[in-house]
Amino acid sequence: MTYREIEENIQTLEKAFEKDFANANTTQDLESLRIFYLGRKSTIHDIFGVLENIPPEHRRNVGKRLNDFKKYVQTTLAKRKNVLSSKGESKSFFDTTLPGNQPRFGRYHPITLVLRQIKSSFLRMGFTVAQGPEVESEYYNFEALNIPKGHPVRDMQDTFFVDEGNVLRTHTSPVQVRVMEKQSPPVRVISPGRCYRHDTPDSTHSPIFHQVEGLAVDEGVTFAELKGVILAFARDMFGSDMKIRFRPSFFPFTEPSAEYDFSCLICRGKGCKVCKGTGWIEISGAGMVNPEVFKYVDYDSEKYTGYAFGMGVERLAMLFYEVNDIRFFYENDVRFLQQF
Amino acid sequence: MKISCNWLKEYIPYDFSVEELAKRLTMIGLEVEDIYRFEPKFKGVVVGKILRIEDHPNADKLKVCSVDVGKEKLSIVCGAPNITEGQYVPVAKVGAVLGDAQELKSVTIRGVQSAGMICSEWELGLGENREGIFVLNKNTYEVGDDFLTDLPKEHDAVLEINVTPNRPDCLSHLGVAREVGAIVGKKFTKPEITLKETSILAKTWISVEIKDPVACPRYSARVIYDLKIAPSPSWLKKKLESVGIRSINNVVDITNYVLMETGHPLHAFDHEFIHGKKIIVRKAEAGEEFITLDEKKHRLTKDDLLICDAERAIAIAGVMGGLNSEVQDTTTTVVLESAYFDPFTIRKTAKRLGYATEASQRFERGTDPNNTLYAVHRASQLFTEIAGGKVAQGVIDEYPQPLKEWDVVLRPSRVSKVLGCDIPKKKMLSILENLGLAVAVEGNDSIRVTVPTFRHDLKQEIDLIEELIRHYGFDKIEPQKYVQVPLKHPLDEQNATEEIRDILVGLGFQETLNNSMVSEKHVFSVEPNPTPVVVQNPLSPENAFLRTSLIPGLLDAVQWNKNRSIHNLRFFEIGKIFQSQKKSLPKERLAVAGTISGLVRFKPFWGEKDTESDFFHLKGMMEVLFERLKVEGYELKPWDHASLKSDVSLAVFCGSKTIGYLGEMKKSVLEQWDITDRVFVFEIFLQDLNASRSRKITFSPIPKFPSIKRDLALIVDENIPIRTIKEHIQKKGGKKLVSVGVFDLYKGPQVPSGKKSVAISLTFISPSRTLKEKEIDPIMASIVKTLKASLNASLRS
Repeated sequence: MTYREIEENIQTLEKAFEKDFANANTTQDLESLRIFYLGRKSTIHDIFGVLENIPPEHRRNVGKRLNDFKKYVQTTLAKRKNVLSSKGESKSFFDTTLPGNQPRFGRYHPITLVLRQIKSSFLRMGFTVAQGPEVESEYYNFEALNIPKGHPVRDMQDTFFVDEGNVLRTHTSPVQVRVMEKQSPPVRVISPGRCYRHDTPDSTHSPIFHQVEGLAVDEGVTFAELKGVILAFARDMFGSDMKIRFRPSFFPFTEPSAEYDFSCLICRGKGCKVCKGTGWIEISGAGMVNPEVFKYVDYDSEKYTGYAFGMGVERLAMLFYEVNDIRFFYENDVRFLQQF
Repeated sequence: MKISCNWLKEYIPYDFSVEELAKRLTMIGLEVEDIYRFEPKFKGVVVGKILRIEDHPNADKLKVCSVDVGKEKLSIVCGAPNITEGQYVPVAKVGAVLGDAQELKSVTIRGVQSAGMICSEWELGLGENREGIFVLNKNTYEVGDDFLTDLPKEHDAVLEINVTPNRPDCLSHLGVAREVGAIVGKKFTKPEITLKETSILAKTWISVEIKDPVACPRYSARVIYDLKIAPSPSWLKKKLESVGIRSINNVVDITNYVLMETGHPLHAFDHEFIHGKKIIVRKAEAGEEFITLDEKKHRLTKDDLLICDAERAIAIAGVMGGLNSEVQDTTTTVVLESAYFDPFTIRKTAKRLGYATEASQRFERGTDPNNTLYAVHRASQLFTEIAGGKVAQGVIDEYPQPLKEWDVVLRPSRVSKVLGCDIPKKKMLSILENLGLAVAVEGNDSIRVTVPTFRHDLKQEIDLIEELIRHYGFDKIEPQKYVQVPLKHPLDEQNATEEIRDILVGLGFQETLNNSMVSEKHVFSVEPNPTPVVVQNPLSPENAFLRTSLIPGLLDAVQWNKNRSIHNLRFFEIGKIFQSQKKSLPKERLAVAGTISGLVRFKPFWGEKDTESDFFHLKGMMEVLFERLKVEGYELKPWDHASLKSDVSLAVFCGSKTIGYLGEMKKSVLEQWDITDRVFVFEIFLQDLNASRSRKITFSPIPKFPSIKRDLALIVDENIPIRTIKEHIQKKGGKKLVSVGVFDLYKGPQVPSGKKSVAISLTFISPSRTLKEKEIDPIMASIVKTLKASLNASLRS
């Protein structure tokens, strides 16, 4: 081929490609064009093969023309191919509305979820987690908490008795005593766990339930710190608009003792049916550790002060998820558990 | 404790609303749980008098009453069992409205016209009694009056106060008045007593001897004679009824009134029945029998304190009087007991006999030993005023060792140290004084506080600090901004448990929580020889044992859901299991257990056939669990477990320790839960598991050189476990053999009977160079040789 012939060929090809391209409507069409214009048997391919026969003064020019054409065809085809495939030109109907192939998944028990939140709050406030046995001696469950035998306050907590004169712990407070026996101040622990009371089950009572008890003992620990910790917890758990209220109460192991309330979670303190119009929801008890308790663990009550607080996990879970019957937590009905 | 606001106002004036009073009391620790106020939910109800009752002609249980309602007489059909002629009753006339119901119409009941309705308490919303009609007091009502405007409860509000066990002094109107006084900053006023005594000496009627001064430190008494038992005046009835006490007669009502007023329990004996004119306070003989005035017979012990006359017991001290000395309609002379008994003694007896009387509840919490005279004088005064009685001269008062007030020193600096807030000293003094405590400032940081005997609970400085903040207000303590640098967290065990929870949830298990208290049957069905902890006072026999395994609880959950047609279940629980130990606390182990049953998928998938869960689903998940937890050197070995099918049961070994098991539950065991589905279970003991976990992760280099894979298709006896085949292969495979996997298993017509075909893939690798095929050939040959020789295996062509 002469240089001239080559020039003409290229021009013809360019025109032919424009025409063919205009008629190409499917990816198959595009692929045939690619083969026809750029494939091994294409004119372009042939011309590349004879390029070395071209006089050196034209060679570069021709080479450039060929490469430009090749590039043009490639990009033009690629662009159109993208357009066609994004239109989803495949013929068969693919029903994406069919349900997905779900792997099986489990869920956490709501009590676990709430317990994790509580733990997380207090861990971030520098408390550690301590645990103790669920079957306790009367000493740890009562005596060492300043609840002597034959005292009317034992009636406040109906107790299950087991072998060897032991009891099913009625609260996780015995863990306090066990921690203080082992460790000198400063102490900052929470003790989550299962507790037992001799209550006939109804919508608000369960013979088994979970409690988290907190204890802090150090020099300079005050009721003001207790209020600070409870406020921080309330806001962490239920939102930054939470308010807290302490009311005097009585527990043998704390003094002064208080019940603490959170602003009602339903009406946020405005007053509604749930809070009987008071704007407050009773949460649990708290107070400064009674010096009598320190006597049992040999802490110097002149040097150290401490506070303790409790909370019922089921009660918080009921408030948190608006569950209206405590028995749901132990029936393990899948239709209940799946909601969490 | 019910406190009537009207009554309270007699001792302490206050000028806030009932709601405000309730709020303030709650905020000083006297929690008001309820406010009862009369809000009529009816209209058109009048007071009627039943003139005549006749049988209903067409119904056995109905009567036809002729009722006088003032301007007219109505004929009303009534089915109440307690109607009698002459009663005053509330009558809802035609047109009346009861609650949310429609206007009452004249109706025909079994053929007899009824022009209204005689109402029960319940129908009027005034009480719970719906058994019979509400019978009204003839002295208080006039026939024909509008019942609404003449209700006794009108205008009063009654507070239900939850008095904590440390505050027996608040189990009375005067006690609560004292607290209200401290709120408003005034002293309450006790009723003044003026007693007119006659010239007859009380001593001539009665003498008192205390044989046990520990159980009975004080016994005071007065004698009132010439009294006449009669119904109480209506003001007294109304007051008692407002605080939930039924009126009986003037004598009983007066003792109850003084109890509600002062908090001091009194008991009136009919003097006629006190043999020998002598009262002896002594402990019971073991086995002594006594009938209380509720006509119950009790066998007593040496711990019980009795009030006796010269011959016999006449009351169980502080708990209940006897039938033999009860005040009767004919009584004219009473001996009025006002004593102080030891709280523990009374509590023990009351608890054993199952009584919680108004008296015992106060004595066991602690009454005021120095208030016996005030109470007995107050009652005597009322006897003269209301019951026409005459008070014999002198009070009997045996009090061998008077109980005195005590001092507690309060340091204002300590108050700030405990509370983290400063209370002005002046405020401290006024709070304590208004509570009835005497204070003396002794120095810069010392206040001597003298505590009267009605406050048993104030023994130490901290008790006084509580009093201060109770009345100063917790809301005045500013919450301290809490910032704390976290301490080191020894949380390994906790984290390990949470990790297991996460993995199991990820594997599709639903977490459950089950009762730790299970039935005997369930304990023994999953384990042949358990040593369970026995609950001595279970709620029911179904909950009389602490669980020795988590499996029974999980099967309860499976059963519960199966009964609701939910079968495709994967459950787990993490919790404690218990074993009894002699002379110590039980052995408690934290365990994790789970069940799988039903289909593999929870919901069907359109693109795949449902498959039943089987043993290998469970085993696979356990393998994943152990691998994720990096449990080192665990082995799953066949073993026998009482509740598992013997050939579908594996123990999890770590070294020589069994740390758990898995397998398929026996049908016979599942039958106890009425479960017919196949259930696969596992249980693992967490402490043992954690001990076997490798916590340190050390990177090992990723192989740089390609591996060589070879497959083996063997035909072996079907009884040869895969584990044995693998062991033989591994023995001959040497260091370069890094994995042995099973990728096919076949039994059937293609292989001889009694045989199975097993396809095994072997992977060889060297960390230092590229292996050559011809290096592997001799290893493979030696493996095949040993399999042929030892296991009689043949290669499948």
